Amino acid sequence: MAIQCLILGAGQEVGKSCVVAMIGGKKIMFDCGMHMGFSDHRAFPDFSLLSSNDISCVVITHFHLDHIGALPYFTEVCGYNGPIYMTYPTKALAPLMLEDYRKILVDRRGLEEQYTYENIIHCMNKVIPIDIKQTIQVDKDLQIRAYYAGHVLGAAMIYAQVGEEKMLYTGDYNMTPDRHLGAAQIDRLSLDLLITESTYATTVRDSKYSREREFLKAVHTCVAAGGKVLIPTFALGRAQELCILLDDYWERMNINVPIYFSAGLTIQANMYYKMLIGWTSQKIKDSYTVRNPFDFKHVCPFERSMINLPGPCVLFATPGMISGGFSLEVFKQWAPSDKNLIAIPGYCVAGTIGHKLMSGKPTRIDLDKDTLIDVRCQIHQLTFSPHTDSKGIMDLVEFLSPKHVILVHGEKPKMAALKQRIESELGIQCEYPANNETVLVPTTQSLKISASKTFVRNCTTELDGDERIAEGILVMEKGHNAKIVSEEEFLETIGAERNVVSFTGWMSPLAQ
Amino acid sequence: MEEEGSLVQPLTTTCDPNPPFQFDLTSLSSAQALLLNPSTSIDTIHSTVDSLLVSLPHLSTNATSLSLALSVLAQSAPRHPSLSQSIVSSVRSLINGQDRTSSAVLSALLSIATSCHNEDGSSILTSILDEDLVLSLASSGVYKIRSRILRLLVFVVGRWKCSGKFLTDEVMVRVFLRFTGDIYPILRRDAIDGLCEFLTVARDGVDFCVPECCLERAIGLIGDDDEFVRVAAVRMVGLCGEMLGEKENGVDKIGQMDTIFTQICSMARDMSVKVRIEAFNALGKVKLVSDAVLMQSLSKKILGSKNGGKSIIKLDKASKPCAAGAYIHGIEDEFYVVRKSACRSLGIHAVMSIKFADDSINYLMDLMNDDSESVRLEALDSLFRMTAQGCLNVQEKHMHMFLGLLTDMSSLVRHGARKILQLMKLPKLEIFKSTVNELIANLEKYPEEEEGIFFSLFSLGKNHREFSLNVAKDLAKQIKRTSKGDLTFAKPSMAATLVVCIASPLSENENVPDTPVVLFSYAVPLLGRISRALQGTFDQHFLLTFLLDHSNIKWKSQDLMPEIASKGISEDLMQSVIKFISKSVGDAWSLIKGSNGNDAEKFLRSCMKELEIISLNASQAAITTLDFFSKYIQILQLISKIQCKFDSRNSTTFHIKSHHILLEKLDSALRKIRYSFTGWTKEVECHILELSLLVDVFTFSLARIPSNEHLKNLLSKISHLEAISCLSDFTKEIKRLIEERSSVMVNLHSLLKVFECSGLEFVREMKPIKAELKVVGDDSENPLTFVPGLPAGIRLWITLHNTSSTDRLWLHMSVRGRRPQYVFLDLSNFEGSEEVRKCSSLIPFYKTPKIASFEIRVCIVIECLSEHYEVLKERDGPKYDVTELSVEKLVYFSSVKSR
Repeated sequence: MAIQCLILGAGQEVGKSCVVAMIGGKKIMFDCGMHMGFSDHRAFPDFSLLSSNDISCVVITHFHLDHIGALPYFTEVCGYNGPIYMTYPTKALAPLMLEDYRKILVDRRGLEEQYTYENIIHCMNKVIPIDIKQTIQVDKDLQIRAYYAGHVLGAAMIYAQVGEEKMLYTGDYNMTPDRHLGAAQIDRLSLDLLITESTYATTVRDSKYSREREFLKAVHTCVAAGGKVLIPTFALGRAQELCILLDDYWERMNINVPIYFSAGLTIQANMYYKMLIGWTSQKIKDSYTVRNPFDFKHVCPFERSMINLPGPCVLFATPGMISGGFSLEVFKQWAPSDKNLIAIPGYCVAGTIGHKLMSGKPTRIDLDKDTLIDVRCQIHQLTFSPHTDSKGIMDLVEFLSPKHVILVHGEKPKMAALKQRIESELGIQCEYPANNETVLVPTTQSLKISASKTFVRNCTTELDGDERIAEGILVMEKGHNAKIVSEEEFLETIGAERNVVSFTGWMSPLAQ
Repeated sequence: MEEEGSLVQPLTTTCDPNPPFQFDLTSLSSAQALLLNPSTSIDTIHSTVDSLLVSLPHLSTNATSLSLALSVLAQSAPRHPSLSQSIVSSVRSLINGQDRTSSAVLSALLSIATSCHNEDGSSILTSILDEDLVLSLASSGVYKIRSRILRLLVFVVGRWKCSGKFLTDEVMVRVFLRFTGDIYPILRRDAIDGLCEFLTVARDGVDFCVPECCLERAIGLIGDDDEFVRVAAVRMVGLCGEMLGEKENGVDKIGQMDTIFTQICSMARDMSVKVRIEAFNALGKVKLVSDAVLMQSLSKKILGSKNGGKSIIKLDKASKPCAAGAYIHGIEDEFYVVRKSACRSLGIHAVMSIKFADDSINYLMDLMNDDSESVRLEALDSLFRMTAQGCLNVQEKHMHMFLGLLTDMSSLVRHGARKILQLMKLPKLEIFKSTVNELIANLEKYPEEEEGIFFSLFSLGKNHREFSLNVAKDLAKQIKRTSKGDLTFAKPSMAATLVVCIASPLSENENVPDTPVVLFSYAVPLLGRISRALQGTFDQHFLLTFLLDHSNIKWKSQDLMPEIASKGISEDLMQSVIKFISKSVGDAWSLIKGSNGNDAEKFLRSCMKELEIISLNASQAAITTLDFFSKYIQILQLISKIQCKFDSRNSTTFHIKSHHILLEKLDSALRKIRYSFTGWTKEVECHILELSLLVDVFTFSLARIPSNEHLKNLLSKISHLEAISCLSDFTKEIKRLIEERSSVMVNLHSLLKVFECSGLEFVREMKPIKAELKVVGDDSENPLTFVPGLPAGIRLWITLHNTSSTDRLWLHMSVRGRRPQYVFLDLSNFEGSEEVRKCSSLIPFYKTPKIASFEIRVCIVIECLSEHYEVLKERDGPKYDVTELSVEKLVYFSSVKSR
């Protein structure tokens, strides 16, 4: 028996996660993402490699586009009609993300859309929401279960089992908790196969506390000196985490400087967080009994007219990376003052202003022919990442101790290094196939054997030191379950009598 | 009782040689009810138990009845300890019976043993169990039997020392070790717990190989599938580590400890919170770990130097760097309990290894930003221990976060941070200055913590001589630059900085010549505040002498007024204290006379404050005098206010009502001073009478048409004064004015001018007239009961001081919004002398309102007999004005119904 794994995306790359695993004759599609770097056919996994009707179910781990972006295309255009599973928060947030991206694609870039708004709605209507640790019986043989993965709100790791064959697909996960989400949480499962992400396959990250300390110090010093702080973020995730961090600090230090959230998606996103408290970290859940931690005490909505108001403040503005929109508008106004601070959390795509600021401090940024921005403000770079580091991956693999590991969602050379470590340190076979490759993972077949009462009694009574040795006879008959019986019972079943043959040696003294 | 009798009847027949009473389930439950009923007689209990015991062998065919009978017996044992022994001896024979029977017997034994007092329980078991029996039960195939015998063993092992042993140590350990391999996780866990218990109880007595053996087994179990087994196993690894660390043996201890430490570290990433907590607790127990391994636990990256230690324990995972970053994971954990535990064990190791301390301080400082207060406090505690051991090496990068704690929301955190600062050694002047500034910020935000902050500043200055000298010089320059009378020096920051500057000269007499003299003289006025912060370190007198000695203030030791020692003001000094105060009061009078109302008020207020501070350390005798002065100053304050009003009367804003209120207050204050003290000298009495004359004059001038009553009153007082001594100018003037029938008002100013404040220096040997009141058996939680509308009694303990037999004392009781009730206190009912009279009596309160609960204000008042007579409306109340002698007490009542 074997599990057959077809890597449709995120094989030796980051983007368009999609793995189709055939386990015990059932085909499961894990994630159905798109690649943000392409706008042609390469953006989606190559669905022509499979027939959509073969798939037993599709399971989505979280709402990031590289994990869900191709789903409406697969269901509405390719015609997949089976069940789709995702967690409640993912189901709530995914349409927002999909529609947001579709709009940007069509309205801003003027590209042809791959699916329409109606497609998204129709697709989402088919989704069956699942809860953490809820076991879903997809059909007679196949059952799946979601485990908490950290990473983003509603992210899950998916466990699938058919008969004796078991596997886990992690999606993206985080092994260290942050201010608003917990760490990935899993049971001990004796797995045949573990498919894990490996974004940071070689990075070992240090404690997040020092990063938080630096960030708070920079922000505090800036506002204490009367400066303004701009934090360009995307609506979900980092914004909430940093806001909790600042709100706590403000509360503790009795700081009265206002924190603003730019209107738009962020306020709406906070609302989702408020509703989905059960999916956040333990601390948030604990404090929820007293007040909702997403009802930030020091946060107020921001209006355009407030950009040039005097006095210090902290502003979270969308989009991240200062790629345009409101954060760019504020940046233009605030960058020329050396009192102000721009704190950039996380990664920035090349070409954005965020990227320019991070790669060496420029004194002037040419926005277009007519607009020049003097950059005199301070820049603070934050490296908060919701992905686990290589230590985390190793810890998870060690904890689960599966028989095989497949690495996806990473860069090839780093994956090679990680594979090396997993094989040498943990002694577990590991692979990192490229896109559209198929891997066959052998599984061990275990057989259920019933034991007779006499045999069990013999087992418990025949004691020999610390070891227990029991003797029995394994009976395997056609059409019957295998059974282990004691010697007496066996004789009884076959109707034989016990014959003892004894040899007596007799030695004649004459023989000598 | 009838039922009892009916059941006893058949039971008594059991004593016959005939076949015993057959218990069915119904009679068993009746027996149970009888045995558990607290009012069942001893005889009945004995006969019930006896019949149950007799019938036990016959019940053995019916397992259900038998186990029920056993459980009934077991339940009754704790209630009737005398029966335990007989129950135990009769169930002994059943223990080897069928599986169900023996498990029932074992559970009965367990509950009997656990209910006994510590020694009895295990001696009962000792009497019944022996090695063969235990071994055969422990190897039973039935889970219930195994689990119960295991629990019995765990119970016994906890009392191992104080009872006879039915198993040798070795067999006991072997049995437990066997159970750690049981297929049931709960038995594995119980077995590990038993071993832990054994190791703790027999700590020093056990052979070296026992903990080693346990350790090996525990390490084998830390990877168990069951969470609770892992928790127990990790705990045992920690315990064994602790014991092996303490024992002297030939092996390479560091290597062994390293292995144990590494093993526990590998559990720091377990998915179960309980395991993680236990792992960090265990890490704190393992001592003597090599620096290399400790450092590895602080770094997720694998460090270069490998631990070379060899282990005597064969470990399959020993080669793996499990320790990597264990503490990092711990302090980053999602659950605060784990973080707290990690933080504690980090602190334990940091104290023992300087290298580790240097690195771990980064993380401990970072934890100051944790969202949970208890984690922050734990981290502070660890830091404090490190500071106390001298292994805290702070760097500049930590200070922003650390100093932020001084303005933290939580007072506990602020306190913890200050405690560390008191011992901290700061590397740089800038850090020192920013620390001082931050402490000042703390003071400005939370002025109530002044004492603690001053003490921290003092210690800080003391520990950093050079830095504090530097700050002192800066401050001196600043003082020079600013003009005199600049109010910036009244700020708390000034006081705080001064404390830093004088700390090192004061504590070690160093830096004295270098410290600018001006600072000492600036510190003199802050004496009270500084000395309160340094209570226990320096005596106030010493502090003052020191400051005056080093300042440029010219003084002689006899000027040192008032000299205050912790023992209180000596009688010799009283004279000068009084002189000083009466002089001040005289000054106040001149201010009042000069119509400097505001100045006078300010002056009096500061006088009042001084008095408060002095009376903190004063002796009992002195307190009376000081109390007198504080009451006197209150009167002066009122007079000054009234005088101000009279001055402004010519202006348009004249409110006659407010005058009356003030006069009323003044009158009552005067009454209070007259009736709160006894043992007046003639001079003082005259002075007080003159003051009351002054009040009359005020009242007189206020009334447009003075009544004859007023005049009569005035004249009677003057004649009283005449009788005591010769009249003062003031009294003469009034007499003249009355006789001339001219308006007193017109001459108010001239009258005041002749008023003299004299005689106050004779205030001595006064005794306070006061009363103490204690309500028996009442507080807001447990109010007295009453029936609405009916009288309620209040038991009071009354103590009276310095009352004469002619005094008329009343108990004043009032309910809010109602007319008060007075009860006359007959002094003949009191015991004791004039100095102290005591009495306890039940006082009725008649007018209980018809509500669920209410409170009464109770106090003792004295009738002011020399005051003008006024018919009070209460029929049974005092006829004259009254003044309070005791503090008002609240008595709580709650209606009987509402209970």
